[in-house]
Amino acid sequence: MRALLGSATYSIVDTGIWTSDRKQAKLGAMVHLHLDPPATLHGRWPRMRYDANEQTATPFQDGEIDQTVASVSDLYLLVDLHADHVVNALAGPGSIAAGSPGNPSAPSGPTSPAAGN
Amino acid sequence: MRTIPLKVLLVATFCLILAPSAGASTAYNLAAQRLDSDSFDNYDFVCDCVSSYNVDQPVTLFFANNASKDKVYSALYGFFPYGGSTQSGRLDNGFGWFYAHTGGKKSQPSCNAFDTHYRIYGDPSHGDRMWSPSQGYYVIGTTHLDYNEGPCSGSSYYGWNENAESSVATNSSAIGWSVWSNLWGMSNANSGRWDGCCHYFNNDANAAYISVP
Repeated sequence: MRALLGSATYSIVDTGIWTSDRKQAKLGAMVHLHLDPPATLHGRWPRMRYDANEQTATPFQDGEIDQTVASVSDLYLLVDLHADHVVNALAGPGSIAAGSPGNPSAPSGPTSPAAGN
Repeated sequence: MRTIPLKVLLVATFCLILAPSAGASTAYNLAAQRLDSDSFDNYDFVCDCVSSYNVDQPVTLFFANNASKDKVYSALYGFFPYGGSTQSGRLDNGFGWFYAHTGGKKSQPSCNAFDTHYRIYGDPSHGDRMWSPSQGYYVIGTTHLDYNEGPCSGSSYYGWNENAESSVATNSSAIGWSVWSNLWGMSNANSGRWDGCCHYFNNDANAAYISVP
């Protein structure tokens, strides 16, 4: 994570429990960092692969993606406390990932179903 | 023919009832909220299956005075024109509990970006709205942000309920409705809790109160 954060100034604003969906088994910890001022983060982001069926006690595997994200003011980390490392990092609302349209505030267009939640 | 003992069937049925539904999350503070002679649950559900293990999102919106589901959706259409997946709210209009269903409305879903998604619940047999002596015609709503939705690579994430509540409240204020942020106690606070791969619960226990003219 140090390489990804670079010289960004941050503070920990919140920590919480990270559990599995189905059995609410403890998987690790969630850490919410606040970056002030907002920063552009470039490099290898921890991005786990998660088994949605949660068949094992540790239903995630390490993964990484290359990404550049601008205007990062909040960062959400999932920490595997057994392995003592960050397995997932996600920039919060307001950030703009390279190649994305950002966060439209007043979209227009036809009503259409979306795939997500 | 091989028969299955009744005891096994009963245990299997019991486990099925308790088993969380796909895509569901767990609430530690699911509770019915009383309003005059009405009641409603402080979370919505992924099916008609009230249980702490089958919740989707916390209730974070309360539209009062002269509200209905369609009226809210229509008025905020310019900000939230897209549809989403259907979930279930559970309410009691004084004559018994029932489920209401909606896919809600959302801003434009995008890859590697957040969108705001809210769902409104009322009594489907009475114009998709509820009525109480103290609040007039009212509806309740849940809110969350979605990240990386659609045909995108990688996981989708959802939650950030308080951010989404603020987004709906701000846009309600922008169209001239009176808004009181974080006014209505719902007893459903979630402080920085991460469920499974993708669900970040984060909301205070107080819903935005919005008066619809």
